[in-house]
Amino acid sequence: MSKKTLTLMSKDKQLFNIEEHLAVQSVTIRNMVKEDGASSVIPLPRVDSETLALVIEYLNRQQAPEEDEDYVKKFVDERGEIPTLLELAQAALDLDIKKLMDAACMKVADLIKDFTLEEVREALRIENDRTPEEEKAIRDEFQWAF
Amino acid sequence: MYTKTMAKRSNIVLNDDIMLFQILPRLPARSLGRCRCVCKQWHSFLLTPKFTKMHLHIVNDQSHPRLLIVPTSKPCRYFQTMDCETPEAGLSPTRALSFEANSNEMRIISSLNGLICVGINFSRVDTYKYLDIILWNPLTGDYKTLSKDNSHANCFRVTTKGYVLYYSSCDDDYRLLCITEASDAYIYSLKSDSWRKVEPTIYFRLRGWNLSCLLNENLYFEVQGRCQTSVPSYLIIRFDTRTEKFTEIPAPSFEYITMCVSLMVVSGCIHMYVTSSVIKVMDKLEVWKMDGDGVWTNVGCYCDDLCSLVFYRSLHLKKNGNWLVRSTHRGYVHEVDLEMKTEKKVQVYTTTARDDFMEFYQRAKFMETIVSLKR
Repeated sequence: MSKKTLTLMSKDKQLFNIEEHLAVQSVTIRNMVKEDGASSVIPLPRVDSETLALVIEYLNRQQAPEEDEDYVKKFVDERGEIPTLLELAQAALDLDIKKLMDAACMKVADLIKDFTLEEVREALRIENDRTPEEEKAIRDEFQWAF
Repeated sequence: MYTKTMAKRSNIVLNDDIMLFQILPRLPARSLGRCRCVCKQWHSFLLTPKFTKMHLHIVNDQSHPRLLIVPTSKPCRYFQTMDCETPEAGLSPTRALSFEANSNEMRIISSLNGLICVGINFSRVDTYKYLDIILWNPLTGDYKTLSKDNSHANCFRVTTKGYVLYYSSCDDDYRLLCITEASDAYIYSLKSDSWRKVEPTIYFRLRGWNLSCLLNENLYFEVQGRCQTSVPSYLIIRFDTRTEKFTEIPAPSFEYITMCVSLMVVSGCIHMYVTSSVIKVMDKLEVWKMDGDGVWTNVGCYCDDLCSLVFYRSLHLKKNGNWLVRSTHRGYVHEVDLEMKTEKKVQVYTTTARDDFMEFYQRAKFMETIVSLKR
């Protein structure tokens, strides 16, 4: 029996092939296939090629179900940079691949949980929108957390 | 490597779906305190009841409960905590109590979702009454003195049979159920900051009301029944927090004297933990599981010839399946492996032998959460 192949297209118009039975681990793709089985290329306008390559690698894994938990943990551990993990989490959310999304978010949480306030802002590129006085007041209020 | 990736992806776009709804709820409560300071958007989002709910859900599932300990042998105003999954790591540094009370004049009466309910400023010579009952979040230091509106004087008596804090999810309200000495039931609501009386549907002139647990919006109490003989009989009382009705459920019966009974929820089922002494020869620790209403199975048993188990009180069932118990005889925390039938001391939380024996400690198991008392 020949296996049906799907083509996914990233934001930057790169094409990736994946066997349909593996691709449908994504609930989003499963629904697309169900609705419109004829379409040969599925566009993913929010996912860049680098991230999509990671998602495809994850979907192609050949793991026994009982080792799957460990695999997904290791998979995100090996890509321990916050920007990559955020992109991966976003793609997994859009594609509705729950295990991958949970693992990626858990990893980011683990990485930032012991960060100082400044480190959180820097890692996530968030600007401090308080005046120095406001900043001092709020730090005093949450003294228990520092 | 990190900076390289950052440079390559300089256009990192923080998406709210991911950051606010998926990552922040996975952070420990202490980190969330710092996150409130990150920016104004995070600050206001972290205050919403919706976020608190999401966070509680994950905390109750993944975080380690802690044991809060307040030494009471001498008046003091501090507490320490211990991670129940890693007791060998020792106690936390001391922190000051947030409220005005000495440790020897306070009593921890209930604990839920990171909130601890404490009766404070009672006097042994006076009327055995709490001057006040407070709700306290030990992590954030937030606390609230409960109003006495519509309360009965008996709600504040030290000899009150039972207090249980529970959460009503449909009203997003914390409530304190209080069974008075006269077997009346009162409920305090944080939302309305007042008390009201509830009519018990069964008349329970029962003696001791022990530690309870909460499962699917039902509270389960272990109570000492109407005993005629020297062997006490036990009953389970279920309180449905939605209908506010009490129901009686049979408990396993024991032919011997039980020293301590407590209830816990393990894997979605009520479990009863019993230590007993069989004619002073052998001490026994048993675990019973309840399926449905009152169908009990013995699922674990541990015997000990050192006659020390009678002094044990259950603290926590660890993720590895071992029971963490505290000995009241000495201030030790022991870990009991029910399968291997072994035990080991893992932590000592007292300093002097005298303190150990007299059990001069107030304690409660709690989760670190950011649950706020503002409603």
